[in-house]
Amino acid sequence: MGRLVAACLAIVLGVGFGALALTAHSSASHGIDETIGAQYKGVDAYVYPDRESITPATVAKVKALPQVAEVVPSATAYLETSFPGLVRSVSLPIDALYPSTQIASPGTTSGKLPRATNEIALPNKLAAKHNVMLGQSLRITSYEKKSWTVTVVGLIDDQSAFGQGAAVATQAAVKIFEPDGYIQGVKIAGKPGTDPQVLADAVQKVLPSGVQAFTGEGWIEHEVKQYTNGIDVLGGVFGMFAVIALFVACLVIGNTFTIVIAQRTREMALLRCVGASRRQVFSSVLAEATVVGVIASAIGVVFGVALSALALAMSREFDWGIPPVSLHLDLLSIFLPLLLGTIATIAAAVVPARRATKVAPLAALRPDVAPAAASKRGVFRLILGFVLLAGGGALLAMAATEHQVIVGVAGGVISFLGVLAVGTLLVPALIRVLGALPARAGVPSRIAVANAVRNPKRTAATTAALLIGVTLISLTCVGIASVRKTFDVSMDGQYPVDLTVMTYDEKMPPSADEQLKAIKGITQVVPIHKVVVKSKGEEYSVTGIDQATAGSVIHSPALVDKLKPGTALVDYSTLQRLQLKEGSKVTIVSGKNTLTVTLQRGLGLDPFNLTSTDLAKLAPNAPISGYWLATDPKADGSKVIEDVNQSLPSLKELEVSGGLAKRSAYTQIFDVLLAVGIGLLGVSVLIALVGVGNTLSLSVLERTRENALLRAMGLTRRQLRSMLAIESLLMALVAAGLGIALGLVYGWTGTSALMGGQTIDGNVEYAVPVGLLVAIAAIAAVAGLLASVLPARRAAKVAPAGALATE
Amino acid sequence: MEPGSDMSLQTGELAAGRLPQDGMPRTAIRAHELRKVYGQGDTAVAALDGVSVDFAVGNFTAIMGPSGSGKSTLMHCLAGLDTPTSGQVLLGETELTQLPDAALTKIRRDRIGFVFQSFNLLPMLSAKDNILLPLELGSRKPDQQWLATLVDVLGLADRLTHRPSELSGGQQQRVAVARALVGRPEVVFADEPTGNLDSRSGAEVLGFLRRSVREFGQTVVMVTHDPLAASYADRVVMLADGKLAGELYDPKPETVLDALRQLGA
Repeated sequence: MGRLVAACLAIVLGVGFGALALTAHSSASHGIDETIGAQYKGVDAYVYPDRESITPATVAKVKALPQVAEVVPSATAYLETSFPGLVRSVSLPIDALYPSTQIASPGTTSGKLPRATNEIALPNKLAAKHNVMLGQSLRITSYEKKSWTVTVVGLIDDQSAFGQGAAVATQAAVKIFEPDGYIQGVKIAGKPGTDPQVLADAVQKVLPSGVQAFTGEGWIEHEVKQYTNGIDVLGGVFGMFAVIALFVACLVIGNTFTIVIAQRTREMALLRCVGASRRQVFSSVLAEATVVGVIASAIGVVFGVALSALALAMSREFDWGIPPVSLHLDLLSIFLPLLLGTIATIAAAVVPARRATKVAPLAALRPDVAPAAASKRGVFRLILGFVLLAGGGALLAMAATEHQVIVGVAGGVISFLGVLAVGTLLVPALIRVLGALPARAGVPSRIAVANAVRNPKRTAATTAALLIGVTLISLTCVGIASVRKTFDVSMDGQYPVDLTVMTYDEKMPPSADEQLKAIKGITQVVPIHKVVVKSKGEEYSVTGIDQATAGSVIHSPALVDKLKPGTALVDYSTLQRLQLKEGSKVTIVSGKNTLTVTLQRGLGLDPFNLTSTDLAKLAPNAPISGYWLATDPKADGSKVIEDVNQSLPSLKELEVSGGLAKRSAYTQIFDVLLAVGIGLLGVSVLIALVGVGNTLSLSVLERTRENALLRAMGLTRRQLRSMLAIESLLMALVAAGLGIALGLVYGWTGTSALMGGQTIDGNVEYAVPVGLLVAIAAIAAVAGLLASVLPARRAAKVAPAGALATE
Repeated sequence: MEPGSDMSLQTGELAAGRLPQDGMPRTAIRAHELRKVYGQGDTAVAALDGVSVDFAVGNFTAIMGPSGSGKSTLMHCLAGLDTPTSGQVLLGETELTQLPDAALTKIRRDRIGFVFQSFNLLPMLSAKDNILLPLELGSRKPDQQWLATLVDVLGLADRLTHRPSELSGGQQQRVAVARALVGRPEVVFADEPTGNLDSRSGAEVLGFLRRSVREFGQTVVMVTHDPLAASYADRVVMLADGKLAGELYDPKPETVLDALRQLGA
């Protein structure tokens, strides 16, 4: 039983992972149901402005219906709010609060809901962020530049809200702030005893076309779907990784049973000698697998559920930027992993069990003989492997050139199966190559290399589990790095400038560039001048930038090359307004000065750009009206934008734009994807390493006499331990190296297949995330060494005399 | 100096030491009041019960006794493969019983040679690598001439690159003898070296062991239960129930058999 512990560990990890994924998913879905349900509590029907907006007249018509008890329109005003300590105001949505007995109002954590028009309640998190206390006054300004002073009377509970919540004010106040506010929807409560469907049907009859009525439940379902779509995708990804983890666990289990049965050959033979039938031997092995599978899977489920409970509790305790949800268990997330884990264990044991039935009764009577190396099946397997490799490779090449993702996935799976099939040949060969170096160091290393390749099938099976994990992790890293690089290059074309700051009528302070440069994350600051010019009677705002320094803030070298005296870079709509084509000349006038320039397309800059030299010819004294900034790609983009927004306090208004917001949004997505991918696949690597340790410890048992002989000959315990460490290290490194190589091939092919059709010019960038790949190899190496620790200790404990005693 | 003359000099020196009646022979290894107890309390069994015995340099000694007499345990304790419960083992000037494992391992590697009954060779190493194993474990350079002599005498010249699985049982045992001798250890221990061999191969191996004593001055201690094998030795030490039960010099198969019968009686 002891030797099955490692196999159990593999199942526990695989099943635990699956249970964790399912529980997290069901908890998240359930949490969203609850949150949205709470938001629409008491709502019997809902009116949604699908293609047409909801007018007050429509609301009045709905309210007049005999079935309707209460009507709560959702109206929101957007106001600029000045928080203390901030240079410039920020936009704040304010929801209108309607008195209602049936329909739920937002809950407060402290204070009360507003009753007068000069009262407001803020979302709790927002108030905390800006240090706003109850009773504090805030200045709010509408887009029409009307201002009001309101008092904060309450804080709204936004514990379970998604994203930033809205503030609330009375219906009358919102009406004052924004008289023609957009109505996002209408919540309706029916008179007691009214069937929601009947109510919704009645409401629908008085609605104009393009406005839709839902029952309350129907609407909640609709809203939940909006959120859970994302979660379902994530659940799918989780599920896929869980299946991979379980598959790797299967390999480890199969391998363990094979070795265990090989060790029990005499025992099995003795059973057959005393009259056990093949079927009895077969079912005894399967029965053992079933017991192991059920017990380990059960532990795995408990482990997974406990872990998800812990993660959810921690996300409640510390703000992880995700809405906190409580643990929700359903039967599926408990029994599915249990069932799959058990089935996987039994399935993995079938082949070893069949092998057990082939043990001849005579084997009990003769000493153990090493099995023959090459069998017919081995040759067949190799041929099949090479065919799969060739076919999969061809599909991959096709996917890369034709940008076919499905073909690429098929090619990847087929060629990987090919690699696994030829593993019995490939892996020992690679170990020999890699082992050539340590083999020179001395006999123990040479023996370690020899031991590692002694049983090619076992070595291949052991490394296969690790290979899968490393390949998938490398693939994820390489793929994401390549997609990201492709995005970067394409973003550089579309949004060549990270950030631009501009003022309209005010004067930039003289130290503006220093102030901007002092902001963390800003690397380059280049001033720009703006002048309004005329051409053919129309006015154009022209931007001038210094040709020499433009390259430091414009990420597209092609654009920088185009920017030279005598050339204007204009966007498409400016070309349309000028009614000219690219390459034609245009004369622009500023006061008494005129300038003739050649037009060139310049995507992503201002509408009309010149060199500052050219601009000086038109307006020699044009003041600095803004700056173009370059940022550190590693800096937190949204923080930089927030800091820039709050910079230059002498200016009342500052317009901040540029590509950084988009760039940091997708950078964040890639970072999250990478972290999730690595984390999830790490589990399968962990399982695989359990397998390596397992194989080693079983090999140690097999080689007891050999090791005892070596010890008798004068091999020290330390030498014996390092011998096993080298053996384990070789297996881990070969799996890591091969996995990284495959990861590069698959990652690049995948990027090409996925992104080739997406970029403007069809060009895809191939990245080599050297740091990550080296880290993967290093982790595999360290883990390989760790995997050898326990088996090596056991091997070193064996007394040389005891093991050598003749039987 | 030529190796041949070196050898003859040693032979002469040891020929004198071989006979105990020639004054004070040098002792290669000595056991004093060795006790080895397995188990505890009521179930305790003494495999060795106060054994004191000396083995002279350049002497070929056979340890004999019925099954369970403690002959293998004695050898394991002498060879540093096992630690006795009490008593001392002196290899030359070195007291083995107090040494930690690492030091014992080094002594086995550098000062002791082994030939076991079976499973003498590592399957993944060639015959030559197997012979050189103890030297390489200690990063010692083999004496090429001595190696050539051994390989020649043992008839292994054309077998050096073969793996153990490609060698006959007799050849495997000869490789083991070469390995035991190549480092010129102070004592070679042989544990039933002919137990798995046919009589011809067995006679060959025993012949070589005796030759190593006569010609090269090697000290050999052999555990066996075969009177014919014991007759190759200079001296037979009898063990029964963990105690010394007699000695025999210049044994013949018949005298050994007689002595064994007396033990059984």
